[in-house]
Amino acid sequence: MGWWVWLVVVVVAVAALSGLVLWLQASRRSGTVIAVRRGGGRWGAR
Amino acid sequence: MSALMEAARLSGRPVVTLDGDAVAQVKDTVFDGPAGRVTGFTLSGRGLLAGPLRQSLPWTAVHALGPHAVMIRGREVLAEPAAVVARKEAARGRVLGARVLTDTGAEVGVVLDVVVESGISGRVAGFLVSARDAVVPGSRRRRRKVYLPRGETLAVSGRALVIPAAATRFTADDLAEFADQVAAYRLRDEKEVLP
Amino acid sequence: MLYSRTVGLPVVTLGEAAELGTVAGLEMDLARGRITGVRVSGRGRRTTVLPWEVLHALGADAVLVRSAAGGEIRKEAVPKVMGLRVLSEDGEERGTATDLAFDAEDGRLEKLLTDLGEIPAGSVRGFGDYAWVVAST
Repeated sequence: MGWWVWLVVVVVAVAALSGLVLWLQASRRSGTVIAVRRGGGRWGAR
Repeated sequence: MSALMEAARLSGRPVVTLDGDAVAQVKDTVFDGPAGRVTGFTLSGRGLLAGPLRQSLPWTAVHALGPHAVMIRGREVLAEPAAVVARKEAARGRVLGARVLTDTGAEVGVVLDVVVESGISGRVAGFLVSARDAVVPGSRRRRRKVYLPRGETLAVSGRALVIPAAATRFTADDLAEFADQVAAYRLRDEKEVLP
Repeated sequence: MLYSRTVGLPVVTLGEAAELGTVAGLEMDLARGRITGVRVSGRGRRTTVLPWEVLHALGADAVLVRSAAGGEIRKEAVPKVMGLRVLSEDGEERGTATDLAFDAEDGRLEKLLTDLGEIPAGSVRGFGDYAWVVAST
């Protein structure tokens, strides 16, 4: 096998790793909606 | 009344100071179930490599919740994370996917989203629910998305929320219609409260 | 005078007619509603800020300055003024900034031009890395 095979392997591995890191950080940035209770409606009903 | 927006869509919305600098973006929207008010937001950094921030935005520091940005006076109004939601509460209170029950014990469906008012009120107007047709009149399909007024929501947890049965008579298919239904529901509420 | 027209103009000293560089951007103070200085490009990203007071004339083809003294060196890039989004105080998008008009005589800001129309300088609240912020309504 030529040396370029290893080059391709390294490039693919780096691309996959950075893709994974970006995806992981993007999912850590995304959020949801959270309900809490703060002393039973002290602002009134509405 | 100010425009309505879906809280899950707030995630990723930039937090911008009145000086025009983007200091963060919204991660979670936190609301007080019994009071029906947004109490604040947890934050993420902006940019490809950014993660969650060790800062939060309490509602009292919000200048305006807009369709394209959450405006704040300045960077200094950001607070520590626990000011908005404690870690335990955050794990317990995830409301998307929770069951919606009426106070008469019927199951309406599952919460898809929470509808909040834009501007400075921070009011929760209601919920987007994947509804069972047994409760919502006039639907053909077995399940469909409907907007339900919050009413005086009786209880909210990550598992279930309980709304007045009367609220299921004021459903809407889109946000524009929903604004009218919320107003109609409130009027009806006031009539019943008055002697 | 328009911000876009000033960018790229040669900056020339009045006494020796020496060319100091070209205009890279303008410095402004929104609270006072004025242009406070001219950023003159140097080598690389480095720019020199000349205060408004040393300007003799800001013309159609050149900026004449009394002296290059009092110039303050800035290393950070010139902020983007045109092409930046415009947000209302309510967090609603109001188009994109296309230019900024000011009085070349006294440096008073006149209006912000956007692709959706003009906004008087008095309604402009802030200008940062993300947006121009303007008063609602």
